[in-house]
Amino acid sequence: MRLLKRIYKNKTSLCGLILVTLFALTALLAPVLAPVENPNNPYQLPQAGYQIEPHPPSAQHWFGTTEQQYDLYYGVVWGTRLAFKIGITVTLLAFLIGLLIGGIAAYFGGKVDEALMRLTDVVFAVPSLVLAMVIAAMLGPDLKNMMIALTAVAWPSYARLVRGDILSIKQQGYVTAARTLGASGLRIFTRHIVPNAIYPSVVVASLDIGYVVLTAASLSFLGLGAQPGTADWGQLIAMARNWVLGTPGHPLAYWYTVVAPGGAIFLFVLGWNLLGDAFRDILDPRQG
Amino acid sequence: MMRFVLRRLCLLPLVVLGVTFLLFFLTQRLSPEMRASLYVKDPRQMGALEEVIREYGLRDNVFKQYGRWLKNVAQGDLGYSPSANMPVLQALKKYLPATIQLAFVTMILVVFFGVWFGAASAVHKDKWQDNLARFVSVGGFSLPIFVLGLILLMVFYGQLHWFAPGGYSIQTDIIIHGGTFKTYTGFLLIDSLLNGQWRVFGDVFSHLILPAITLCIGSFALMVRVMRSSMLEELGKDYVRTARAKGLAEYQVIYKHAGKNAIIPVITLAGIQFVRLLGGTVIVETIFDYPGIGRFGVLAAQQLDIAGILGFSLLVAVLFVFGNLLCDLLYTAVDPRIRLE
Amino acid sequence: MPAIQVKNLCKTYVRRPFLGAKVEKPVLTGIDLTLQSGQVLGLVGESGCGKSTLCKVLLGIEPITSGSVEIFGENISGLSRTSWKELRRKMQVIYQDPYASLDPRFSVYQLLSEPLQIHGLYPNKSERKKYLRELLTAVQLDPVILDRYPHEFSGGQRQRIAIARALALKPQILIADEPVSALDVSVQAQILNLLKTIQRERKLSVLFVTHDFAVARFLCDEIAVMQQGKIVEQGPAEQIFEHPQHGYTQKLLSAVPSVEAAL
Repeated sequence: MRLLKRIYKNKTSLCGLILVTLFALTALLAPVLAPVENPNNPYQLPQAGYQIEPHPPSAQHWFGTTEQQYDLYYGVVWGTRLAFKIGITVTLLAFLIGLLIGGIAAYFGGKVDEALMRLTDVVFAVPSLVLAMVIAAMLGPDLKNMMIALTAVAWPSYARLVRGDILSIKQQGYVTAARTLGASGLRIFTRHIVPNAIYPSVVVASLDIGYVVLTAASLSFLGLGAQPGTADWGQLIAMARNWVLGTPGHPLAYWYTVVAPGGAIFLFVLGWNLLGDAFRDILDPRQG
Repeated sequence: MMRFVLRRLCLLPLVVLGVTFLLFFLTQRLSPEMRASLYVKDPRQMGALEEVIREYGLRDNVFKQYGRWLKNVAQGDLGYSPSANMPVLQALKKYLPATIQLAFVTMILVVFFGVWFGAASAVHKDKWQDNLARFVSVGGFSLPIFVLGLILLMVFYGQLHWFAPGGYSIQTDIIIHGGTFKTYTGFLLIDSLLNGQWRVFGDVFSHLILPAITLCIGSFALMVRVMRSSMLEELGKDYVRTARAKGLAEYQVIYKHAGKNAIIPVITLAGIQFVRLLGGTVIVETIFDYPGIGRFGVLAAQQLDIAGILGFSLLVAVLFVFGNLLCDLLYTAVDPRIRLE
Repeated sequence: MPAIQVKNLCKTYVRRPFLGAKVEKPVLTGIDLTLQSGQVLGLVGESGCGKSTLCKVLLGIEPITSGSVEIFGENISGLSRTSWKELRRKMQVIYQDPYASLDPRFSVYQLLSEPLQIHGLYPNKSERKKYLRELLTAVQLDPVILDRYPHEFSGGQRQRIAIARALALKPQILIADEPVSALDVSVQAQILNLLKTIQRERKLSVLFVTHDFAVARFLCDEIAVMQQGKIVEQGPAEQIFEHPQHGYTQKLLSAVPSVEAAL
C-alpha cells in the first residue's frame, strides 16, 4: 500500500504504472479487443488474402497489414498477451530455479556453494542474449524452446540474489536468537531465513518481466523464437525488415509495419523500466 | 589484490571450459550427421558424412567427443563452418576486427555524447536540457535496438540515401581485393589510412555510423544517468563552493573542477559497457548486414552450423570473461577506495 | 553446584585465506569464571574485550578452542544435538538489540510460541494462549498485543517481548548480553527494574554482560571485570566498587561520573 502511494506521488513512475496496467488490460481483454478467428490457436495471426505487399491502416485493419496480409492490430493485441505469457512464465520459472539453487548454495555453504556459484559464473561468461540465442538454436526454433533458453540464462542472477540475501539474513539477530531457542537448522532456514530473504528478490524478479520480453522479442527477430504468422512483436518486426526501404519514390511507404509492433514493445518495456526505477529507489535502503 | 587476480585467472579457463562443454552437451541432441560438419574441412567432403561419423566417432559418449574437440581446438582446428563457407578459425579472424572496430567507434560516441548530455543535464538541473536528457536516457533504455535500427535504416538509407548497410561499398571491395591494398592490422579503418586510401576510409566509416549509433543507444542512456548523478554529487561538494567563492568563472568551476572528478565513474563504466556491447552486436550486425562476428554467430545459429556456433561461443566467452576481469582491475585502479575480495 | 563454571577457556578465531598462511586471532585467553546458582554475575568490560564472544561460546554458537565450560555440572563441549536442545531449556538469552533479535515477519504470538513449539510444550492452543498472556503480564505488557507485529512497538516494548520469549521455557539461567545498552536512558531503568523483579521471583541465575558500571552495580551480586580476553578481577559487587584492586578496574570506575546520579 505504501508502495502504491509513493508511486502515485512520482509522476514518471505513475506513467510506468499506467502503461503496464494498460498493457495488462489489453492482454486480459484480448479476445474482446480482437476476436479470435482460429480457436485452436488464438496466437495464429489471421490472414486477409495472400498478397505479399503490406497494406496501410484502413477501417478494416486499424494498424494496417504486414507481409502476406497478417493483421497488425490483431498482432499487437495478442502479442501483448503473448508477451505477458512469456514474461511471466520465464520470470517465474527462472526465479523458482534461482531460489532453489541459491537456497541450496547458501544453506550448505562450503563446496556445494562454491560449485553452484561457479555454475552461475559459467552462464554469466557469455552475454545473455548470445547464450539464449545459441541455446534456442540448438533446441530448435519455436516458442517453447525459446522460453526454455530464456529461463536457462535468467536463473543465475536470481540464484545469486537469493543467495546473497540469505547470507545477509543469516547474520541477523533473530536467526541467532532462534538458534539459542533450540531451533533446528532446517526450521531456521524455512521459517526465518527464506521468508525474510525472498521478498526483495520477488520484487526485483517481477520487474525483470520487461527485460525478458525484450530479449524474447530479440530472439524472435533473429528467427530463433516465434515462427512466422505468430502474434509476436519480435516476429512482426522481423517481417517488417523486408519492407524498410519502401517503394521507389516513397521510401517510408511501409512505416506502419515497423511502428505498430515496435511502438508496442517500446511502450511495454518503457512502462516496466519506469516502474522499476521507482521500486529500486524505494527498495534502496539509503533513501530510507 | 594479487590474490584476487590470481584466483580469477585460475577460474577463467574453468568458466570457458564450462560454457563450451554446456553447449557441446546440447549439440548431442542433434543427429551425428549434422555434427559431422564439425570435422569437415572442405565443402567437397560434405557428401561422405557417414565416413566422417565413423572416422571421428560421433556416436561415442559426450566426454570422449568433447575431449577430442578440445584437442582440436588446442591445435587451432575449430572445424569447418558451412554457413560462412570457410574454416571457423578463418571466419573468426576475418570478422572479429570489423566488430572491434564497430564497438570502438560506438564507445567513442557513447562516452562523448554521454558525458556531454549528462554534464549538461546536471548543470541545468530541472531545466529543459535536463528534462530532455532524462527523457532520452529513459527512452534509450527501453527502445529495442532492432526497432531503432530499422527506423534509422528507413530514414537514412531509404529516405535520405546518406548511409548504406553492409561493411563497405562495391567500389571499396574492388580496391581492397585488387591486389595493391596491403593488410597490416585487419582493421579496415587503420589499414586504409596506412595505404593512403582516403576514399576507402570514408566509405568504411560511413558504413560504420548507423550500426554504431544504433548500438550505442542502451549504453548511452546509462552513461547519461551516471554522468548526471556523478556531476550533481561533485557540484554539491565543498571544494566546488570554494572554487566559486574564489571568484572563478562558472565554466571553469564546472569543467576544471567538478567535471574532472565526475568523469571517473564514467570511464570505468565505459570499460564495462565495452564488453557488454558484444551482446548487442549480434542484433545490430544482422540488421545492417555488417560483416562482423555477431552476424557470423547469428547465421551459424540460424543454420544450425554447430562448428560455427561453438567457435563463436568460445571466442565470445573468452573475450567477455577477460574483458570483465580487466574492467574489475581498472575499477580498483581508478578508485582506491574499492578493495577486491 | 554453580550454575555456570568456566575453566581456563580459550577461543581463537582462525581465518584461512585462499592463498597464504592462516591467520589466528586469539579472543579469549584463559577465562575462569563462576556463576553461583541464584546469583547475578556482572561481566563488565569495554567493547571488543571479548564479552560477546564469551556469551556465544556459553550458548554453543561458537565452538570452544580449549578449556572447559560446565553448566549445572555438565560439560558443554561434545554435547549431542539433543542434549544441547535440553540444555537450552535451562539456559536462555536476551540480546542487545531488540530491533534485530525479533523476526519482523512474526507476530508476538508466533514469536513467543516458537520456543514452546520447538520443545513441544503447551500443545493445546487455548492453554498456550493462556500461558503466553501470563508471560506478557509478567513482563508488564498488555496481553492483548499477541496479534501485533514487532515494528509496531518501541525499543523498550520489544525488549520486554524478548524477555518474555526467553522466559517462556522457564529457564534457570539467563544470559543478558548488554540488554539495555541499545535503549534510551529512561527506558533502561524500567527494563533493569523488570529484570531485577523477575530474577528475584524466579530465583534465576543471571550472567549480566555490560560495559556500564552503574548498571552493573544496580543489579549484580558479583562482578567480573574483563580486559582483552582475560578476567582481571572478580569478587562481590560491593568489594569491587569500594576497593578495586586491579588498575584497569580503577581506571574504568574513575571514568563513571556519578554512580548514584545515573540511577
